[in-house]
Amino acid sequence: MGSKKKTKEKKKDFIKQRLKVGKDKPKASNHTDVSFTAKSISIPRQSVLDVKTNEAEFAKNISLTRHATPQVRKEAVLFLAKHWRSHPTMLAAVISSIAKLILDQSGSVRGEVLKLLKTLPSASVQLHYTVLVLYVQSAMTHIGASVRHDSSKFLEVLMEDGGCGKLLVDNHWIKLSRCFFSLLHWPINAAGVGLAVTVGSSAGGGGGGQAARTARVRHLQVLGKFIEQGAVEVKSIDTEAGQIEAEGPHVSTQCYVTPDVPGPFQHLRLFARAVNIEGDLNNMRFEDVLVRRKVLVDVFTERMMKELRSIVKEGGEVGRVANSLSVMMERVMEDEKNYQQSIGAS
Amino acid sequence: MARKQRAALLPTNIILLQNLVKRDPLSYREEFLQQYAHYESLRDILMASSSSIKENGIDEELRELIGFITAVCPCYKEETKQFPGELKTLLSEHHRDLNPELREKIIQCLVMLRNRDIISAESLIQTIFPLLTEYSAVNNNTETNSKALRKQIFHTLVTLLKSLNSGTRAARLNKTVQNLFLSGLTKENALFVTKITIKLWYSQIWNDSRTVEIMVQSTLSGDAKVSVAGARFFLGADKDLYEEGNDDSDDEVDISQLKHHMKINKKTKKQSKKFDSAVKTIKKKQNKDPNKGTALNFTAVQLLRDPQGFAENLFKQLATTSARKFNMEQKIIFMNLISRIVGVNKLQLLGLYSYFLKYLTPKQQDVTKILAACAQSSHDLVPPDAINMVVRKIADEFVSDGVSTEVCSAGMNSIREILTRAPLAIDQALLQDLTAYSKSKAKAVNIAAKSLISLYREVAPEMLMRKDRGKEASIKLQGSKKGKSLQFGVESSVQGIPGIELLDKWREEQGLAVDDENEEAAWEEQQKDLSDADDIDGDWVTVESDKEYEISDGDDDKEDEDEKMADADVNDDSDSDLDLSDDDESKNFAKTKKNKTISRKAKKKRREIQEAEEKKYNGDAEESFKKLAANRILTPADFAKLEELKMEAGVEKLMGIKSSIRNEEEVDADGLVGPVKRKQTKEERIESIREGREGREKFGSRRGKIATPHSTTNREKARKKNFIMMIHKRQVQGKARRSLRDKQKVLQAHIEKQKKKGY
Repeated sequence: MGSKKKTKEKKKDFIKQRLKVGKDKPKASNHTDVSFTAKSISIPRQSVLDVKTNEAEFAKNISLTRHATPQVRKEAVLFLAKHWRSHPTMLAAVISSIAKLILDQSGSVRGEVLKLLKTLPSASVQLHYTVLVLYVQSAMTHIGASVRHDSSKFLEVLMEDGGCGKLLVDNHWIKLSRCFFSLLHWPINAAGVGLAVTVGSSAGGGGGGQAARTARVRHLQVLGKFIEQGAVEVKSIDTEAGQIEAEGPHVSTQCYVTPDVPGPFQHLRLFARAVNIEGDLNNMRFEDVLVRRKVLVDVFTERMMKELRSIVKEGGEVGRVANSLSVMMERVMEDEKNYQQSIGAS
Repeated sequence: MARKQRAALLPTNIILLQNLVKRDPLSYREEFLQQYAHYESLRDILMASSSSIKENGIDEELRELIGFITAVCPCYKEETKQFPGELKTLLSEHHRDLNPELREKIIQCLVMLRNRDIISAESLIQTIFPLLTEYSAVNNNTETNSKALRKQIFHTLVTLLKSLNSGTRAARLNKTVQNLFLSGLTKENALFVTKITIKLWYSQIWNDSRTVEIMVQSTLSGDAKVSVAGARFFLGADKDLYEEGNDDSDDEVDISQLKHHMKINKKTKKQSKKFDSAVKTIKKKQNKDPNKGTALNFTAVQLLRDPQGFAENLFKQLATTSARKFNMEQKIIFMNLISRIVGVNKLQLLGLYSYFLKYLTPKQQDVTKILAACAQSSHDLVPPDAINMVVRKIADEFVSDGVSTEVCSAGMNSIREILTRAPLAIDQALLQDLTAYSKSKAKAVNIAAKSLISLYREVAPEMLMRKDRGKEASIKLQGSKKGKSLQFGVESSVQGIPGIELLDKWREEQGLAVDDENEEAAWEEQQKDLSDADDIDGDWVTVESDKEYEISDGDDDKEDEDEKMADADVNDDSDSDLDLSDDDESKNFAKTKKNKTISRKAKKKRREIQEAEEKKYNGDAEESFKKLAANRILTPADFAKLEELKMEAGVEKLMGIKSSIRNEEEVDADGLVGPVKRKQTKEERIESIREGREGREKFGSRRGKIATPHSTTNREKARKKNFIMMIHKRQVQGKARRSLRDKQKVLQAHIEKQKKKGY
C-alpha cells in the first residue's frame, strides 16, 4: 500500500473533467506554460585562468581608493605611492582616482594624497591637471572646513611641484580668484558688504581655532603666489623675446607652431561635454598678463585691499603675510596705472 | 551678543545651512554663494569625468546641493537665474550619463521649481516628456531603472495636471499637453500616453472629445498592449484599476467587538447608530463584486468624433492579417467593443456578421462572449439577411438534439437576444423549429424556447405556429385582418405622444366630457409658471374708483354664451388682457387663449359625431392620439396625469415586458447559458458544504463547554448544593422574610440589570 496521499493523487488522474460551454478547457497536469519570452540570457563568466597578477593588485588598490573606510583608502593611497613607478601605464588612472580624494573627509587620507602628488612627475600632472584643478576648486568651496583648509595646499603643490602655474593662471584666472575670495570669506559684490562682516570674521578668526588660523596664513601665501604668477610681469621679458626670435624666422612664428602645452584648445570645448552657459566668465581663457592684471585690478583689488588692510591691523604672522601681499598688490596696481596712462598717451 | 550667537551657528552641513538661509537670506548670502560655486565645480567635474561618472563620489554631494539650491532659489533669484536652465540641459542632454538617483533628484527639483513658479509647467512637461521615448520599455533593455523613471514621470505629470486643474481648468495647458500626446503616440511611449490619459480621464481632469481622440488613436495603434488598454477603456472595464478613493484599510471595523461594546457600555442612540452604520459599510463591502463594472464607458463613446470610422478601423485591425498578434482573449475584447459601438450608434458594419461566423462553434473558447457580442452588434437597421446568416449558423451549430442542454440553451438564448434587437432576422420555418423545443425536458432549453415564443407573441405573432400564439395575440390577429407585419426600415416606435392611449382610456373611464371649468383650472398652473413678473404688473395697476371698468371674466362668460358669440368674446378677452398689462408675455398668453377657444369650438362640433360612433378604441395608441389631438390641446394637468398613468402602467410592464430600447444594453455572456442544473456528485456536495462552513463557528450548544479551563467556581458549587442542606439557611429563608420595600429594591435592581444586558 502506498501512502494515502499518493493513492488520492492517482485517483485524481482518472476523474473525468467536465467541459463547460464558454469556459476554457482545463489545463493538463503536465502542462507547461511557454508563453514567456526571454529577452536575453546572461551566463556569468567563469575562468580558472584568472590569476591575480601584480597588475591586478595595483588595479585593485586603485579601486580601493573608493572604499568606504578611511583607513583602507589611506592604505590604498600609500600602496599607490609606493608602486606607481612600476606601472607607468596606469598613471592616468592613479591621478583621476586620487583627484577624488582631494575632497575626502578624512584628513589623513588627504595628507597622503598630498604627499603622493608631490612625488608624481610634473609632465603627467600637467597632462591631467584639468581634473585636479576641478577638484581643487570644489575643495575650496567645500562646506567642510577641514577640506577647505587643505585646498590651498593642493593648489600650491600643483603650482610648484606640478609646474602647472602657467596653465592655472591661463585657464582658471577668474574662477580661482573667486574661489580664493570665498575661501577667505571676502564678499565679492558690493551688495554684501555690510552683512557679510559677521560671517567672514567669525569664519576666518574665531571659527576654527589654530587650524583655521594657520590655514588662513597659507591661503594668503598661496594667493600671493598665484597673483605673482598671473599678474606680475616677468622682468626678463627681453630675453624671452630674444628666445622667440631665435626659435623662428619671424617674430610671430610662435603663434603658428604646434603649441607645446597640453590641451591648448581645451577652452574651445570642442569635444568636452558641458552645460552650455551664455556669458560664463569662469572658464574664460586669459593668456595675456596684461589682461589678467586688468581683470584683477578692475574686479578684485578694491575689496582685496580693504580686507588686507584690516588683516594687517590684526598683526602676527597673518599680518606680516598680508602686508607683503598688499605691497605686491600696490605694485601691480601701479604697473596697471602706468600701463593705462601709456596707452592713453599713445 | 545675539550676533555672536547666530555666528556660532556656523553651518556644517547643507540642511542646517538651508534652514539658516531660509530664516535670513541676506546674512547668509556669502555662504550660499560659496555653495553655489561648489555646485558649479561639482557640475564641471561631472561633465569632465566621462565614463566613470557613476562611480565617483561626488554624486551624493551634488544631489544634496541641487536640492539645497532648489529650496533656497526664491531667496536668491538674481544669483540662480541660470540654475533651472542648467538642470534642464543636464536632464535633456546628459541623462544617459547621470546616475538614476541623480536623475530622479533633478526631476524632483524641477517639479519643485515649477511649484514655486520659477519655471512654467509647459517647459517642465517638455523637458520630461521626451525622456519617456528614451527610456521606454520597447527601446531600452540595458537600463535597469527605466521603469522607476517612467513611474516617476507618470506621477509627476498626473499630479501636475491635477493641481493645475484643481481650481479653474487650465484649458491652454491641457490642450498643449493633449497635442503633445497626440503627436507623441509613437511606438515607444504609446502605452504610457494611454495609461496617463486613462488615469486623467478617470480622475475627471480630462473629459473632452480631444481626450477620447487620443484614446481612439491608441486603440487603433496596432500594438497589442496599447490597443487592448484602449479597448478596455472604452468598455469601462478598467475603471476600478484607475479610479481613486480605494479606502480599503481605513475603516476596518470589527463587528464582534462593536457588539461586545453594545452589550457592556451604556446604551445610547449614538452607539446604536454607529453600530448600524458599521453593519451597513460591511454589507456594502461584501456586495462589491470585483468582477463587476463592465458597463460601457458611455461618456467616452458619446464623445467619439466618428463612431462609424472608428468601428470600421477597429474591425479592419481585427479582421486583417495583422490580427495575428492578438490572442483570443484580446480578440474577444475587440469584438465586444466593436459590437457595443455598432449597437449603441446603430452603425452599418456588414462584414462584422460574417466575421463572427467562423467563431460560432460550441467548442470555441469563450464562445458565450462571442455570442453576446453577436447579440450586441445586431439592431433593427441592419439588413435582416446579414443577421439571418448568424442566426442560422447558431441554430445549426448549437441547437440540435445531439448536443448538451447547456449548449442548446446557450444557442437558443443568444438567438433570442439577437431577435429582440432585430426581429426580422429569422424566417418562419426556423422560428417554428426553434419554438418546438418548448416541449423539451431539459429545463434550460424549455425556458429558452418559451422566452422566444413570448418575444414573438409581442413582436410578430403571425410567424408563430397557431397554438403558440396565445389568446391575446390571436384575438388581435383576428381583429385586424391584415395586421401590421414587420418591415425592414420602418420605424416601429410609437408616433405622437407615448402613453396617450392611457390618458384617453382614463378620460373615458372617468366619463370626462370637455369640462371648461376644469380646463381653466388646469391651465392656471401654466399661467403661474408662465410669468410671475406678469402677475406683478397686473397687480399694480392703479384703479380709479369713479371709473367703471369692464373687465370681462371670460371664463364664466364663455360658458353662458352661444357659440356664435364666441368670436366677439375672444376679442373681448384679448382686449381686456391687453388693458391690464401690455407685456409681451401676456400677449402670448392671450393668443394661446384664443387658440384654445377656437379649438374648443371645433371640438364641440365634433363631439356629437364622436359620441355617435361606437367606442371601440381599446387603447390603440395611434387611434387615440388622432382622436385626442383632433379634440384637445393637452393641458399641464393632462400631462401630469399622463405621467402618473404611465408610471402605473410601467409597474405592470416591469412584471413582464421590457422596454423597447434594447440596442444600448449589454448582453450578459454568463447568463446566456441559462439555468443549467445537473445533479452534483458527492464530492461537489461536500465541497459546497465546506464552503458554507468556512469562516463561521460550529453550530450547536455551547453548554457544558468551558471556554477557558478552570476548576469549579464557588457559584457553580453553590448552585449544585443539595437543596435540603440549604433550605434552613438565612440566605434562603431571608428572601421570603424581606420587607416589601426591600423586595421592591431587589426587583428594581434586577430590571435595571436586565436592561443593561440588552433584553
